[in-house]
Amino acid sequence: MTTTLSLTVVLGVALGGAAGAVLRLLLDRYARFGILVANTLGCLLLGFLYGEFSALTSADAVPDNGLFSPGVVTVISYGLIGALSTFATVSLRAAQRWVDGHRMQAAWIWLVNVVCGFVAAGIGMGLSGLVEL
Amino acid sequence: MPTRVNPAPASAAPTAPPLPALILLVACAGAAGALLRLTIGQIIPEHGMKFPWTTLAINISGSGMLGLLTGVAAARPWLRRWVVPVLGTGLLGSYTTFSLVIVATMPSLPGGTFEGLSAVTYVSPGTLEMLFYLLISVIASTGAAAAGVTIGRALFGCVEDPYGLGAVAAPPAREAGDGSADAGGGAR
Repeated sequence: MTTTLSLTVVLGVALGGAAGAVLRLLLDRYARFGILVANTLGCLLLGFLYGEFSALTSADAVPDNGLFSPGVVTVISYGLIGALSTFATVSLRAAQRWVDGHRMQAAWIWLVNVVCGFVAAGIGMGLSGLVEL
Repeated sequence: MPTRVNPAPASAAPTAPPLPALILLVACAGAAGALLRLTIGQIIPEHGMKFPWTTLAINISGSGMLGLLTGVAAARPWLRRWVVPVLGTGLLGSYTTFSLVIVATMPSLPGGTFEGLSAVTYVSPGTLEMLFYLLISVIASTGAAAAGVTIGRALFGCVEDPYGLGAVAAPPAREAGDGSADAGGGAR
């Protein structure tokens, strides 16, 4: 990151991380395929955010105080989206299947997560081209 | 099916922790995990790297530590009540990230989608290279998780619940024609 971290950004990342982790906990407990939903949602949001952000930067109109200022992007991408999506839980569950002998299931877990992530990120980037913020 | 959740793991704690208190602790741990990832990203900035190596290191170390925690919890089941949700789901789940890996691996769209991005400004990585990055992330993290589970179990001498699946204390009465698709253990 090139942004200098202000106290506000650090607090924002902490708040976003808290919200993302709680949302993921609730999804994992009460939704079927909750971690997959959390990861796919994270990819959708990050794809959209990066699409919007790059559209602004490529138009040479980087707002220093707008909705997509570097600080806000840091808070949302590092805090909320980074905490909402997770790598460790997917690794653990795949590893558990693998060492338990269910290797196809382990590969399947990763394949589903990755494909859903790609599709969601693509949709998010596509939406960012349609939605003007 | 990616996440098969058993409704009642045999070795789960008898009483579930109260949800509001758990949410509060997971929120604190999630904030700490996000700040830890941000701090490491500041110490080893990915800006200008061809591949997000810092994220790779974070994901491998986080997966390994979650495996370790799960391995220890296989021998100390009381950990599953508070410690595994707070440290596993909260701290390590928030510390590692999936969306950045996926978006960084996405093939660059015409018009330079990744130009000037905060964390993923690379020197035009090829799609094949980025797919290898994804493959390395997946294999190394899964291997780290498996190693963590094995080490955690070995350190605490757990024998009756291999790999912390939580639902294999009693050998399942598997029918002769039962397919392996239904034999997945509990997710936790």
